[in-house]
Amino acid sequence: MSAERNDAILTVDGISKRFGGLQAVSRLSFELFAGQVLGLIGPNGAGKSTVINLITGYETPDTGEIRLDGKRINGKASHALSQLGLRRTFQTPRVFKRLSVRDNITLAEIGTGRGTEYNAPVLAALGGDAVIDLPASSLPMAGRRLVELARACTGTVKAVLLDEPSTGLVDDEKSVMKSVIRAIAAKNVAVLVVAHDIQFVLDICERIVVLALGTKLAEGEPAEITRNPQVVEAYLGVGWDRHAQA
Amino acid sequence: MLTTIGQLLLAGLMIGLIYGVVAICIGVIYNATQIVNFAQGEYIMIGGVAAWVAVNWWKMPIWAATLIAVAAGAVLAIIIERGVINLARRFRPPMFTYVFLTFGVSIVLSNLALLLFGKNPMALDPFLGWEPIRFAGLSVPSQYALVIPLCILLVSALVLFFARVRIGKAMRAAAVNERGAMIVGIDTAKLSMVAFVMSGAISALVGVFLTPITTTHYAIGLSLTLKAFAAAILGGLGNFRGAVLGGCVIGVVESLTAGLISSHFKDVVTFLFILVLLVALPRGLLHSLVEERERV
Amino acid sequence: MAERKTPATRRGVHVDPLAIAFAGVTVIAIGWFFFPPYWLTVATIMAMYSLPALGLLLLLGYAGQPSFGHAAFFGLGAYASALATTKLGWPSLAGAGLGVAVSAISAFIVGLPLLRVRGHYLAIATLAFAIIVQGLLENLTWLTNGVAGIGRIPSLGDTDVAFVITLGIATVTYVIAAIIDHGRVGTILRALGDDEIAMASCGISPVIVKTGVFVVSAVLASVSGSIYAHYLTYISPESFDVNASVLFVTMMIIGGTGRIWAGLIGAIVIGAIPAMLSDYSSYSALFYGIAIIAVLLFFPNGMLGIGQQIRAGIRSFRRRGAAASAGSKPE
Repeated sequence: MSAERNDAILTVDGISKRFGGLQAVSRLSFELFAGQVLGLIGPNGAGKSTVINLITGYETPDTGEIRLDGKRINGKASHALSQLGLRRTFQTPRVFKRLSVRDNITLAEIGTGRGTEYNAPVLAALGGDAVIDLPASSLPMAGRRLVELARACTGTVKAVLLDEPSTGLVDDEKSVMKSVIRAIAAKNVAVLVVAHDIQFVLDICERIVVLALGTKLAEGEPAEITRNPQVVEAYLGVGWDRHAQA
Repeated sequence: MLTTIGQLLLAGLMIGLIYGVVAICIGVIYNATQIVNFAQGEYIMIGGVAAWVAVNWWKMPIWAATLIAVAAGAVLAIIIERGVINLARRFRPPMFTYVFLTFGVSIVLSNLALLLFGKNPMALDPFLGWEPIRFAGLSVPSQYALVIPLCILLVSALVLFFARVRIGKAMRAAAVNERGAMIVGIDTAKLSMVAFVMSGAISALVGVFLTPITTTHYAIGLSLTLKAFAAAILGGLGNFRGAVLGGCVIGVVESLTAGLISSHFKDVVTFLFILVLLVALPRGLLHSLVEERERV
Repeated sequence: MAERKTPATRRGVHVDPLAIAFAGVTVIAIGWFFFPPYWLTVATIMAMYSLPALGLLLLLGYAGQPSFGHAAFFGLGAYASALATTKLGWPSLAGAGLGVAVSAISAFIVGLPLLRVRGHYLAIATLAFAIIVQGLLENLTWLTNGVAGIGRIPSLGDTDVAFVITLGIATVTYVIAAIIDHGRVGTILRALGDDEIAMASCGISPVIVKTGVFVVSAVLASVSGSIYAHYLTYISPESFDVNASVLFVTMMIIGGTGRIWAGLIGAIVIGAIPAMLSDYSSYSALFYGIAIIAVLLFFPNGMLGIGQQIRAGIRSFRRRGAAASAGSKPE
């Protein structure tokens, strides 16, 4: 699948964040393009979730700039960013437990507009009408992740940041999640996937950023990353290059 | 005119230090338990009332009455902490439950005082006698000479306690990270008890020393709690220096209003000032010890 | 694998507005024909307090924020009505409208910045606000007559007329609330109660929603205060002190949080007491304080949660019994 190289939808430019004594993120830069799936991997504590929090307004970067469609978005509130099309999911899926699946989507429609173009594949994967009226809390983990993703793809969607979308899923469910993510990217949405699951990332990401101790260790295509000696030493270990799509 | 202002400032400083001490007490409990004790002001009332009872009903000398008052504050704190707060912990209720509980305690205590002692203010004689003393060219009630050093002493003692004494350091650790504190073996339940008892005893002590100046009666608790709380927030919840600073600001505003504008509007203006501050600077002027972020 | 039952699946959470309307009309009819005057009075007071009870239920149950100063909005509504009708000669509806406007604006000013932060800030601020309002009512004698109060407020009417009017207003209010609950606003409120962060990720600002809830609760208290003024025909500042706020808080707690008619239960339980004690004497305040503590400690879900608690208690009792008999067998 060839990605259309436009200007970057999302630009992260030299951001840093310190929490008390801990420098969580340090001068990080990368770009996210429409239609491309970018992976963000790294050992525990590398700062991956912090990066998503910084981009989506839950934290404010100490230095650097974050730009959406070229416009600076540092410090904007998370709900405002959602309205601008910068969406995210959470490490532990945050569905509205009291509401049905349909109402979860409705809420997203209220906030970011009606728009089923992007969430259609997600809803299809969920099971469509069979589950649409069930309470969200009654679904298993895979279902809840899909509901959250469907919500994030409702209305205005320019970029979606997924925080550990495969955690808690079994193999079949992971396959479904992979095809859903590919389908979303195919609609020219920029997708960022943060994950611990290396195989998952290697399977769907065209480009990978490796984060360690808050700094970028490497960036490149999966094949390059799995052969990068620093990455191998710091995180991956040997043998992953077999699993990377060349 | 200048002497009047000077007098008002000194009075404001005096009451402000008291607010500061009580604000620290509120902060101590908050740091140890994340609970905001709406009943903190009642301990001041209890201290004054207990001392009054000791002096007027049991004919005790003032130093003994003071000890009784402090004991009363401590005992009451234990009863409330074990009987109410700890009981609520079983359910792991949301935070606002504790807010309501301490508010309920405050209502119960003040109305019990009303029922037992009536509406009339209860007075104590100034400890050093009725002669005013001269300070910096101003003539002030002798009790100031006790209250101000007492507050300074208490604040210093508290600062030292939290810096050097083991339990104090444990409480600071628990304030910053409760789970972490538990992991290294700190007994957070015991900390809660210590925090309440300390705050109760200290507030009662302050109440005894304050009574000769302002008298005590059933209704003073809530107003004191609010002002002390405002001082605590102004200085950053859990920050001791800030609390004292905040207390002095509020005390001075109150005193100047009472003296220069009108004593009727004293409370209105003071609370308006507090409200405006809360609305404009909800996070206070200085840094809070406890980070209040919700982890995403 | 049993599907875990959540309130959304259980029928009956969404209260039917028609049912409420029907119940309200029935009560009014029965009351008009059969209630003795004393019952009419009690019912009128309960209905009057059911409005702020609803508002506080929304505030606490959905926005999760306690307010300790709702007596201020109650008092603002009462005094606005009283002053508008006695000094300005306005019709009572306009007076009530004035009260609503003042309460809404002050709630907005206080609420918007404070609802960004933790609950106890709002609790303190609303308490301070209540003290300020009471202080102003007492001391701005040129406007409010101070402690002497305001009298000769146009009356709601005779006992039975007042009953019909008040219960009518309460019924209409709850019907509107139920209708709104069924719609998108209800969905937003339930989402707010569930997960504010998720709500933000959906593009809706939780602070704005919470502020809206706070303003609505202030408006409800204000309307109730206006009714109070016309009902008693005489008001004075001492009815709007902290004890009055305690009354509202108690109502909120006894009703529990979360369901629209829970507040009604709270109002019914608590509303009976002032009706029977005739004013806020110190005994009633003490009772409310003890009630707050007792209900929170023993019925953390409020009165409506009692059923749940009993069932849970029975279940754990059975489990313990089974474990005990299993353990007693020698291995």
